[in-house]
Amino acid sequence: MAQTTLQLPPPLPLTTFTEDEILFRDNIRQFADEKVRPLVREMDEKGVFDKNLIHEFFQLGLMGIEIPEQYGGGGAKFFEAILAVEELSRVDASAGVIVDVQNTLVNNALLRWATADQKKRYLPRMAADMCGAYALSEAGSGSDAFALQTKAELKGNDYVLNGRKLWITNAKEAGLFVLFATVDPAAGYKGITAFLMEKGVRRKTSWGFGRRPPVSLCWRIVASPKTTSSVKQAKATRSQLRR
Amino acid sequence: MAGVARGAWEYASKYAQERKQFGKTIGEFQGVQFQIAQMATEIEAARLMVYNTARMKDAGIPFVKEAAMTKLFCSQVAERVTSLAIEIYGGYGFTKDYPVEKYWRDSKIGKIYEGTSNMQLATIAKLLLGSK
Repeated sequence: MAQTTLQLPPPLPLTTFTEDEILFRDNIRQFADEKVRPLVREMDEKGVFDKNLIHEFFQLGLMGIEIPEQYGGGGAKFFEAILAVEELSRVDASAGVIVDVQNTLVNNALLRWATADQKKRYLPRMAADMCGAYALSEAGSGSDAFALQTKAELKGNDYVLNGRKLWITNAKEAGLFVLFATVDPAAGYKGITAFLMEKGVRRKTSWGFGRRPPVSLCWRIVASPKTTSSVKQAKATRSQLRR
Repeated sequence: MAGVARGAWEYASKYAQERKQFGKTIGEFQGVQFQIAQMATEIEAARLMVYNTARMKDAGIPFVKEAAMTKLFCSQVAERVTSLAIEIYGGYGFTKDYPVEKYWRDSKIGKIYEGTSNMQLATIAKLLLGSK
C-alpha cells in the first residue's frame, strides 16, 4: 500500500466528509429515491432512459460537477463526482453511468486537454444542457484501444472521418462526442487524435442506434475544423489507458 | 459499482427481515445473517477504496495503481453481492418482479468496461513489478 505523509491536518477516517459533501450526497440520495427509483423498472423494460431525468440531472448540477464556476459548473472536486455516481448507481446503474461518463470522461477530457477556446465553447454547455459521449471502442478494439481503425483524413480544410464505433454510452442522448480516430495509421498510437464533434453539424452522416447499451455509431463525416477540433494528439488516449 | 452493490444489499437485508420460512423471518437464521454481514463487509471495503483513491486524486497524489485496484475490486464485490442478493430472495429473486436481478445484470459490466479486470491486473502488476 502506497504511503503518503502530509504535514497537516491530522488523519481522519476515510468516511469523514465535509458539510458540503454531506449536503451534496444527501440531496442526490433523496433525488434518486424519489425521482429515479419509480422509473427504474419501466426504463429497464423499454431500454430507454427517461429524458426528463437527464434534464433534472442538469438542473441539479450533476452534469458539470467539476467544471469551474466561471463556466457555470459546480466547481467541485472529483470526490463529489464519485459520491454522485455512487448514490445514483445505488438506485439505477444507468443513471449512474450517464453522470459518470459526462463528468469523469467527457468533462475531464475537456478540462485536461481542450484549448481555451474549446473550453469556452463547450464547458458552459456541458454544465447546462449538453450530454457528452466518449467514442473510443470499436468492433475490433476494446482492451487493445490503440488498434482502432477509424481514420481522419485532412482534405483541404476538412477532416473526413470514416469508421464505426460501438458500445458508446450516452450516444443516443449526446450533443458532443469526444471521438477518437487516427490521422496516421502508420504512426501507431501517436496518430490517434481526439476530435470534438457536435451532433447536428455533420454534413454527411448516417447513424445506427441499437438499444442502450450498447449503442453503435456509423458514419462518414465531412467535418469542418470550425466545428470539429482536435484535442492534443495521442496524449488523450494514452492517458485514458493509464488511468 | 459500490453503489450497485449497496442498492442490492439494501433490498436483500430488508427482504430478509420480511420473508418468513419455518415460522420465522429468514433473517433470523444465522446462515442468512452471515451472508448479509459478509456482503456489508465487502461493500465497506469497496467504498473505502473508492473514497481513498478519490481523495488521493484530489490531493494530487499519484493514484493509478490504487484506481486500478479499486476498479477491479469493486466490480468483484458488486458481482458477488448482487448475486447473493438474488439468492436471499430465492425464487423471487430470479424473476423480474423483484428488483435484485437487475442489479446483478448491471454489475456484470463492471468487470468489462473502462478496462477489463485483466487490464486492471496488468496495470497493477506493472506498477508493482516494473514494466518489461
